[in-house]
Amino acid sequence: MKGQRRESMEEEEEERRSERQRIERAERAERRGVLRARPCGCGGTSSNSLSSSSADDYKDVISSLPDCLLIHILSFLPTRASVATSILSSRWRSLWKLVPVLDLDQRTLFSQSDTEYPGPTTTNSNFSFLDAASNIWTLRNAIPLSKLRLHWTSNCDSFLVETWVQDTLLRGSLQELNLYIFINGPNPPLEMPTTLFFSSTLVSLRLTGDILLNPPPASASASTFPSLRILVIGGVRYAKHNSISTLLAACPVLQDLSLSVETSNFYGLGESAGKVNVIVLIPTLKTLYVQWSADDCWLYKLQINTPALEWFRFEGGLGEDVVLENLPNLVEAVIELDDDDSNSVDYAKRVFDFSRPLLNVQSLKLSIEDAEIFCNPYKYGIPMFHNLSSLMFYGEHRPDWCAWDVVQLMLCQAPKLQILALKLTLEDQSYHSDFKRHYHLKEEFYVPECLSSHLTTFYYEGFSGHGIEMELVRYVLKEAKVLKTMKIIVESNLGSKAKHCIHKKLMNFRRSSRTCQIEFDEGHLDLYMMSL
Amino acid sequence: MALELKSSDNKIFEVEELVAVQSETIKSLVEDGCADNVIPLPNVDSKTLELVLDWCKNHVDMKLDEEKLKEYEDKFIEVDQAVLYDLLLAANYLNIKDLLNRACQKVADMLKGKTPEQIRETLNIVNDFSPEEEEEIRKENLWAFEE
Repeated sequence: MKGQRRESMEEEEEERRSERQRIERAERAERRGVLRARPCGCGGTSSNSLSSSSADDYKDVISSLPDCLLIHILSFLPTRASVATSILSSRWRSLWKLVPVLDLDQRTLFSQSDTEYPGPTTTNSNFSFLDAASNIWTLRNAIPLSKLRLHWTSNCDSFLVETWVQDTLLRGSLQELNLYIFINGPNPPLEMPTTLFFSSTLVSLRLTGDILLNPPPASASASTFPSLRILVIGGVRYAKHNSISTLLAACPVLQDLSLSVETSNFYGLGESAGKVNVIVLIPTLKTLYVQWSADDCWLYKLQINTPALEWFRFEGGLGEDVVLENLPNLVEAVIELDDDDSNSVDYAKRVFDFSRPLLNVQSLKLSIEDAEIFCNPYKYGIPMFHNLSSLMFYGEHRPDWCAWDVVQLMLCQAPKLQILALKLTLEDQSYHSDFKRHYHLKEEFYVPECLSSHLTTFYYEGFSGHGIEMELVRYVLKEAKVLKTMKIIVESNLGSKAKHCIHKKLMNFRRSSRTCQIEFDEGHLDLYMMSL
Repeated sequence: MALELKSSDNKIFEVEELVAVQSETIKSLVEDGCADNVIPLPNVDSKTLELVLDWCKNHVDMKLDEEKLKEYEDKFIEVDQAVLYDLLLAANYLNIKDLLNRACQKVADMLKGKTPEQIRETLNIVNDFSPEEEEEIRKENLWAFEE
């Protein structure tokens, strides 16, 4: 008994001593002319005294800002830097824990520099991502989060993540959730807790990877996302064949949707009784990106009816049941259609039907791979793009690419075209030496209307100076009467002599537009994916 | 429609309503019909208010030119610390979200890539930890402090 009392007395003495020391330190600091930290008084703190009162450079000005502002500043820091502020001073010790934003990225958590392009998962021999992330979670002590982002692709502990997500959802203020998870080995995917589907605060939801979604059916109490505006689902797993439809039906105010549909989504479910329906019937939707698996496209049915849609991107094959309707407000479409190997007449009809709602767009971007399927619909009439003012072809091409027909065809079908752009990369350099075949532009009896009266800009990135490319440029320069700008960016891999030769040839081409300026760019190695 | 704003040092600023309502605080006053007379802003001095109004005006003028606006913002925020914190406080008080975020981003940029000692020096923060306490904090999140 006596021993214990003595121990507690010693402890108390120790506490009092350290408290005294802290006060003395602060007093010394104050005597040096440092402003004391003020408690949070959002909106009421005076800004007068900071810059105008004294030119004294030694004032700890930042610590006089209210807590809420310091916390807001910390939310702009990468996680590591934010946690490290705990050591600055006693005022800063716990501020990082109050930041309602948490970004845990396995690639960047341990990096010391602010890298914009994270490399592969950094393996730090001393620390594991699991330990660091768990530590952060514990220290934060369940302070509510409004934004949680987790990128964990190597040995993700799904049970732990499930707990974190569940805890976060239960706090009730989550607005943005972004999970990018891959679990190595045969372990089951991370199961999203049902509470997710009852979140009334969620505005943005992004899920990719080994994640299992089991949205409760609409009939079982009103489970909708009343606030959800952004939904991005990439390659996840669904618990039922109708899970996608259920999920989409629960988003009444959705504005941006990105969906990837492939066979692996339904792994382990066996065959569906009927087709898997993906019905996008959302009156508020403004942007839509669909990646549609071509492999088993007969198993799926895609139906899109979105009257407010302004931007549409589609990559995939056209199964029998791909229906696109009611897109009166569409401004831009980005299309990459996989070819049907059987080259059937039926497929040509499907392409034609698919293109019909796109005919009113102002801007169109087409992947050049398999773009020639757009030439086939001739049998069903020639679709005219009456409103098209900007057309771009993008992607990887080969020197023996025979889809130049499409470029010519589109010029004829877009009478009001103002901007023609090609953003290409050469697929395989070894083709250079084997390239013997010469393709020529088709002889046309008339000059396309857009060239005579509308085309003002021609942009060609990835120009390699081959026969037909030169022909195209020569043709446009010759016929485009109102052309103002032609910008050519040469393939960076060409030798400088070849580039010089190309430049010279281009400058010698006849131009029918007197105001035309030709811009020639030597091109530089672009290590990052070009953006669309 | 013009509004009159009065800074803490009694200087009156006349501004277009469209410019002034970039501030959510002023916007609510206008919507509630309390903006007929001069609006007093006791928490913002004239020097800061002038800068803030310049920000607001340019955001109305350059609304459609993203590139030009970004150029302006980058130049605008190149101010010394004291002015930066005044802007922060004013943006917070007047509830101007984009100015607040830009200013916070600027402060965060000042902290990035620096060691704690360097941060303390830049911001003139006094270290009031004992060596034992500092060691304790370091141990709590060792991974965040490894050089």
